[in-house]
Amino acid sequence: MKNILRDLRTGQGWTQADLALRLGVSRQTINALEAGRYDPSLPLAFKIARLFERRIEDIFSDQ
Amino acid sequence: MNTLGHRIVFTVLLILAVGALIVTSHAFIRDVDWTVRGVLIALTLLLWGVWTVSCRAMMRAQMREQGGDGPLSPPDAALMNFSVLQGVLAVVFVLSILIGGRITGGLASPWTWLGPAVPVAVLILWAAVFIRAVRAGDEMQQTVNMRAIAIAGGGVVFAASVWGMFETMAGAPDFPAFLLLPVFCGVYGLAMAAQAGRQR
Repeated sequence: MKNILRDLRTGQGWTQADLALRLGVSRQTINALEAGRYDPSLPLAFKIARLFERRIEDIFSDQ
Repeated sequence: MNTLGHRIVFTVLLILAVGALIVTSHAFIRDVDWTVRGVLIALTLLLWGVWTVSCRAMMRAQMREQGGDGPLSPPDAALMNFSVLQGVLAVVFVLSILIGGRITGGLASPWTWLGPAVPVAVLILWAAVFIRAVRAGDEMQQTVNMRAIAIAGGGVVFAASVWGMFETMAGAPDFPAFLLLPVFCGVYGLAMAAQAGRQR
């Protein structure tokens, strides 16, 4: 699954560690998400969507 | 040193530390000379100490590479604390075998079980710390952990079974079953390091 998480994060001027702290996950997980090596669970996807005030499908796509 | 350098040092140190733990534990069971035991204990303590420091250095280096060296998220903090506790418990495990051996040596027949009870208590504590660390991880860390546990558990059971066949049928030297846990920890650590390399 592709995503625009890196763009959203850098747009806020946050480091991976900053985003990890806000989402309550590890920095390793943020890195894996951004690289598309890990697909988040639904609860985590909702958490990300809420943090950036977007819809899940605006952030993640299966294209 | 960059992240790759830290990971290589971390992996080599882990192999050496687990090897030292196994050799030292074995030396106590085989009644090796006390001077040799002292040297082995010192070496084990040193290697686990250095490995623990390398864990923290590797995580900090990864964070610096990403431009952040601030506060850790709860799963990152739990992982870092676990790496320290793991090093301490490995050392306590070696010492508990020493103490257990001493206790058993001074006891008469129905009470000899008190000796093994000392390292067993440490193992129970180690297991509790490990389970707590797995639970403290986030969803991806738990997935990676489960994969590493499956690889290490399956690998050790397979290797133990193969070794047992050689012991029984071909006269290979006995491998004490209590050393399976340190071997498991080593394989688990390597499986985690390999996956962390992909996920970093």
